[in-house]
Amino acid sequence: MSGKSSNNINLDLVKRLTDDVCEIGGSNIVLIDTPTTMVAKTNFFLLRGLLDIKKKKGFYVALDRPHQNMDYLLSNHGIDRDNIWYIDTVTHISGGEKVESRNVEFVDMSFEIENLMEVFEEDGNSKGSPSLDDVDFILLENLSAMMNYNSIESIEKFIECFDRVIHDHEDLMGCLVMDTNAHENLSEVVNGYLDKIIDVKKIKEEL
Amino acid sequence: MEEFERVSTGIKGLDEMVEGGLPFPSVALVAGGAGTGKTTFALRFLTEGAKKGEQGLFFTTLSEPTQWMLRYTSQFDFIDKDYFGNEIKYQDIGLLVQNEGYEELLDFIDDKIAEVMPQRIVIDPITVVGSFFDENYRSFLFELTNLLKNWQAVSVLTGEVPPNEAYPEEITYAVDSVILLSMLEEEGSRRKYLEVLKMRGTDHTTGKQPISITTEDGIVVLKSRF
Repeated sequence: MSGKSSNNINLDLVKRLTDDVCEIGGSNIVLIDTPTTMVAKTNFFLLRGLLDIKKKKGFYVALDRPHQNMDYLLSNHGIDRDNIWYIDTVTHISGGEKVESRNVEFVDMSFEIENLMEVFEEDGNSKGSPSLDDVDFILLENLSAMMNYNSIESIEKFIECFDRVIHDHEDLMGCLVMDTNAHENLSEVVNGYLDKIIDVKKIKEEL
Repeated sequence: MEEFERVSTGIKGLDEMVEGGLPFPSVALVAGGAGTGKTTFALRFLTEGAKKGEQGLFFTTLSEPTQWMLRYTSQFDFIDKDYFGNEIKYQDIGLLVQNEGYEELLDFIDDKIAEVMPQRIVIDPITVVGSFFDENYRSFLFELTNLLKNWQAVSVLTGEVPPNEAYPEEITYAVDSVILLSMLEEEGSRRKYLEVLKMRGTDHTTGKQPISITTEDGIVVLKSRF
């Protein structure tokens, strides 16, 4: 164990992760490779850094857990949520009331993920979310969650489309989070579209 | 078909019985009578995560101060005291259990988890809550397990088994896994056992497995030695 407390390590990790991600600049895609047990935390760290430290604007696409979980985490940690918009593909398959707040759009596409990017093709939408020209990032939560509902071919179609959209926008970064060791076949598919890979485990060891 | 991600329990011999560890995320109950090793199990589980850089959160319902816990744990070689306050956060909820309603307690637990963002959570022992919440106990357990399942973590609840019962029935229906620890008198001596009663999505070994509790490793499933 290092002499640093886990709180300091977490703060250092937020800063380092965000710096590394932002280094790629717009029109590029970065994969953040993190152990499965750290996926939720890594998503939160990234959003914290992008929104709070870098003052970026962006979309968070909830693929694994309803967006309310992340919204609650951000709120609990006092992170300003004015510049985040959620695309929630998960809540429609769970029970309970779907409350559409200002910054969320529920989409029924868990089982046809190849069409997900259509959501972004409209120039803004009825919920008042901005167009892709006006945001800095799209963060996809736990890419491997797509494997629960979709074939690898569908996911590849989605990634192709995601890649095209990101490269069509010069200020837009694409951020993917997943555990490459747990999903090697998905990792192989994604690899061809990446401009950078960030290894969270390695960064943690260095801190 | 996607395989479950699993986290090691740290208990020697147990991971081999359950396809490599507890499913991530999930909620497990570790139940047993007094002195069967429930808290030792929970501590071993948390320290195993801490070794790997995972964050742990230990809720105690007993109102024991941290130094009591540290004194108790000092007998075990597998525990690094530096973990406490860092990789393992210790949170006393005893007073809340005694003085607040179950909704306030759930809110507190939810907030604390959001603050710490652990990958491993322990509530030790959960059964104490039953004596304070009485008619709301089942509702509390149902909502608690739902709350825990919403987090990306593996949660271990420890539960005292009343002398005339096989396991605390009111909890077992709500959790994903049930591990029983027991102590039986055989040939004039007391022997300890571990049994995986239930583990969803897991082809687990059944039947009571003899265990011992050592200062070096905590709980050890004995057949793993041979």
